[in-house]
Amino acid sequence: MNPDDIERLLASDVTLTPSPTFLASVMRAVKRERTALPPLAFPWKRAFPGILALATGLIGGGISVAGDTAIMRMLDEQLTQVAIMVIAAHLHWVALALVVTAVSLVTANTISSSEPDWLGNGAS
Amino acid sequence: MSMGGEDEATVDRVLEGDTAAFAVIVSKWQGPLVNLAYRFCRDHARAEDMAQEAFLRAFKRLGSWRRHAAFSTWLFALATNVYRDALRRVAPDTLTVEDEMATTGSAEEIALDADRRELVHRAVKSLPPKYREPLVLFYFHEQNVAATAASLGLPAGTVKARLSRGRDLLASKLRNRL
Repeated sequence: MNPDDIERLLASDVTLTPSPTFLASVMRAVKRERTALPPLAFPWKRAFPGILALATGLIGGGISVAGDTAIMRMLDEQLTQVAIMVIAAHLHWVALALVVTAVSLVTANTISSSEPDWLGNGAS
Repeated sequence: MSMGGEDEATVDRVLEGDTAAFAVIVSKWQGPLVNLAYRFCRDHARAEDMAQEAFLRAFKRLGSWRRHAAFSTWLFALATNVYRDALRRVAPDTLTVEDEMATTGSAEEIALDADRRELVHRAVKSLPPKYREPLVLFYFHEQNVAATAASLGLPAGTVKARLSRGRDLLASKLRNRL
């Protein structure tokens, strides 16, 4: 088959006529979509006071702990003990492996779920 | 009222809550969208399923149509993306042209134009997506590079280069056939 034949065959493709039920079928699907309940949105307005109180508490607690030398010294000792245990049990390698796994999973998921941006606002 | 104006007025009605007005859009564009889907999948029933999915997505995202582009450009770009996703969800067609020749018969037996066309389209379907999509859209858009580029969201130069490479690949697959 020569290039001219290929060109001619590609340019003269068959033309289909949609089946008579196609329009009705699409409109049924559209109406179903229209009547479907929208997904529940996270209640940000109701949660806001709680989130604000939590953030204030955490920040306030952090500041008060940081200002108390005795508590900071005790915290430092405990962290040092934990660090010694982690190194002795080679847990740092386990943690590193978990981080690498998590990063690769998130990256793969992001790449596979992303849609090209070229269609503009959601035309994809 | 111009064709674009008709589309715009219909879209406005749908966006204002007149769901039934969407039937005007489906009625007008069902032929092109089903045919475009068919050129991707070569299966009539599946083409209608894919076109329905495209219309449904268009309905959901109608508000995102930027009016400075033609409605058809937006719709074809959206449909192309839906079809690309639909084809990605199923196993690729691994049948080679050589396999097809073996199952269909010898070159001498396949004399009809329809068979030759089918063979060409199977060869197109077996191309990598980056060459297959421009080829399918180029002939669907009556060999208009600008429309093909708009549907794919690629520069015209890139489309031309991919068309050229796609044709070379096709020619090498179909050389000495039929």
